[in-house]
Amino acid sequence: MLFNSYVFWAFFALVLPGAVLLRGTPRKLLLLIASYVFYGFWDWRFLSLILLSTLVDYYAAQAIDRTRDQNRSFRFLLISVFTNLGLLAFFKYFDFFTVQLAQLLATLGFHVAAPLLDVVLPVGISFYTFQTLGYTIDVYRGHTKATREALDLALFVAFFPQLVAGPIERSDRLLPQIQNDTHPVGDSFREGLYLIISGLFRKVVIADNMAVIANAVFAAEASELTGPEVLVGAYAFAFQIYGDFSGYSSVARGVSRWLGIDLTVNFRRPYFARDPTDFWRRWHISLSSWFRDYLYIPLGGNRTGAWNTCRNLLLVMLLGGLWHGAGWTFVIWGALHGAILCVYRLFGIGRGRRTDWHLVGMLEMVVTFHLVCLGWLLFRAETVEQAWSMLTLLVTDTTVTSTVVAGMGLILFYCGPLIAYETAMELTEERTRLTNAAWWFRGLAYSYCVSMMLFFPPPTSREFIYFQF
Amino acid sequence: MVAATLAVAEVGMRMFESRLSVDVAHLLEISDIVNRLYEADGTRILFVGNSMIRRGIDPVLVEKELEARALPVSVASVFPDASSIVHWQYLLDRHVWRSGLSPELVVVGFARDQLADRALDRPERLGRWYANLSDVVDIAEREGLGFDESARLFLAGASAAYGSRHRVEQRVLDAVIPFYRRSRAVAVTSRDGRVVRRYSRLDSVVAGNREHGVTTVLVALPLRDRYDIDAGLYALARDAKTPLIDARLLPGLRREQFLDDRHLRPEGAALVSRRVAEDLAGILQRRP
Repeated sequence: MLFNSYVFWAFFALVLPGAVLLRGTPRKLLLLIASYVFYGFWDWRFLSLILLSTLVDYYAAQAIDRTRDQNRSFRFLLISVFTNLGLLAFFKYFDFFTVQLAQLLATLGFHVAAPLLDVVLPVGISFYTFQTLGYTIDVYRGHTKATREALDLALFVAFFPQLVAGPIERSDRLLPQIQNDTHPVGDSFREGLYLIISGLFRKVVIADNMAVIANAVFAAEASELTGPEVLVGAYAFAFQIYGDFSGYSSVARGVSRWLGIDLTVNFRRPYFARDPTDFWRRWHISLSSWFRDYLYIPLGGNRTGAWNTCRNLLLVMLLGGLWHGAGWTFVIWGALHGAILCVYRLFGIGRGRRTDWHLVGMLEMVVTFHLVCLGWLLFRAETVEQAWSMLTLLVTDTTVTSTVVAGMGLILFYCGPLIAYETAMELTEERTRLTNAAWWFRGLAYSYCVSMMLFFPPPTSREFIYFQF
Repeated sequence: MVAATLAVAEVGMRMFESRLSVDVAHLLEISDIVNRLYEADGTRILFVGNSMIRRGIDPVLVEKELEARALPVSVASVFPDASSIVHWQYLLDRHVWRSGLSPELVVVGFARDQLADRALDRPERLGRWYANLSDVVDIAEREGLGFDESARLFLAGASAAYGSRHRVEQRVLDAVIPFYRRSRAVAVTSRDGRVVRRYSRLDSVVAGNREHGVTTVLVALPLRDRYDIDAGLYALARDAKTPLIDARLLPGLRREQFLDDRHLRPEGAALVSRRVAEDLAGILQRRP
């Protein structure tokens, strides 16, 4: 069930009254069953994986909590780690690594037939495995007490608004809300409405319409494109992936608010970042903070010298790239971001920065945005060869065609108002947030969003990009 | 305020919809066209197709040619843009079969695979122009539509704004975005256009016509580039005893008589109309 589908809202209309009116265990049961129905709609067979992950982590966390023996605790942690990462590795990376190994052996003179399994990737596996793994790590570190209520943990793992594409929630944030059976409060409806409308607008109007442009550019042969056309494709994809992913997160948060749950903010105007570090504090915040807290800092973070910091950054970004998909374009994308982060750190770029807006600050934003777009080109390309061809075109060809003009026109038409709104938010540190505006202005803005969704739907309604991760 | 905006959009659409495009104006008058044909004298012939019929067949010329052969006829055409057998099937069901306003002949003009079975790609279009609200459940079942597609079908039937929204989009973007139309052509042709070459829909049309005492005639219209007629279509026409007029290659029809790859200029349409009239004359004379 996609958030931009009628069937989801029919489903939610059935769940919401019970979730608001019921209390305690019946309410949690309702939400859990709804979550399993939601997930089972994709493929009921993969419910078994969520159940397996939940059960293993429930017992592992309990065992960690009960024992005083550090080594024993660590062993139980490893059980959780191997189970969750094992599921991820098998379903997501088996075929990729099998092929790569076969190719490596072939270059060494050993020819083997790669036993490919054509494994179907369960929707959301990258998200819920990280979420539940975070829980057991937090219990091991003593940050969170293991819950004895299986129902609470099961709902923490499977809570449907954020199950298939995040935000990746932390145990000290979502679990207490479930345990305390939090309900919608005064401004929950208004806040939720804002998040849902703005999220659907970003998905239906921006992301899916930008997809038409991006797909046309990336489906074409490099010989059919000019440099500016590649740039338009990169811009279109930049807004497609932002609209798609931030839109999903926003709707997830809005739906959760109507259920009384407050999910993590996952995006904070990432294209206004002034440097790559700032970008990763604004983009997919739940994932970048997960990697920071569970990988980067345990490796030493930035506390063990410049070169070790770079090593840690590169490793984290490489794994971050791989998290997105089993393909070399994702790995190279991660490596590119890691390299850029290292360069900025080694040369001290951006340190001692003024926080207010000025010409240099705006230039920094433009440069950072284009570095990110360069990465998106790698991310979106089907193959490394295609990415290379497109990058070459960018620097060698400057022919402006009618496609470029039309493409830029469409990007401005669809994305311009959102860019203007986010600029105001950035300039005023969110004081101009729509929920703070007068009722009539909010009404106008919502009318605009709904009218755009009505009259400017995409040619094809699309799945969310991050479902494939 | 949102509800008020939607209400204004709905009222506005119902009032000004015909101005959206020539095609919308035509769709709104199909019922009247069929009515007028039913009340006309002589053998009544209804041409059904898309813009290729609009540009390719001159009903007045066809009438004159047949009357010159002592065959009094009345001819009308319905030609929704970018339509195919999917839409014609429902068009005939709604405006001809169920209304009881059956002509003697329905002539279906096509090219390439427009008669081959294909999935319904825009339920909104069907809901707005070719189906009644009460038909939604039946159509959804027949077409194998999921919940979302059925919802779109229903909403398009209930709301003019929803049903015609794609046209609003095209008009606004055409007006506001330079070179939009050219770039849209690229995006459309790069979509997946796989067609399963079966003819169950055409079979239903022929059967439905027969049930209502209507003779079906198929006309293969010319394109600027030559195309083949699928063997399956020949077989169906033969088995169903449905005449198939092949107007693809006509003596005297030149590439310069085409506006583009598929639409004819008036002089080309005259050639095609005469040829079709000639074949129709033979069909009418052989009718019992």
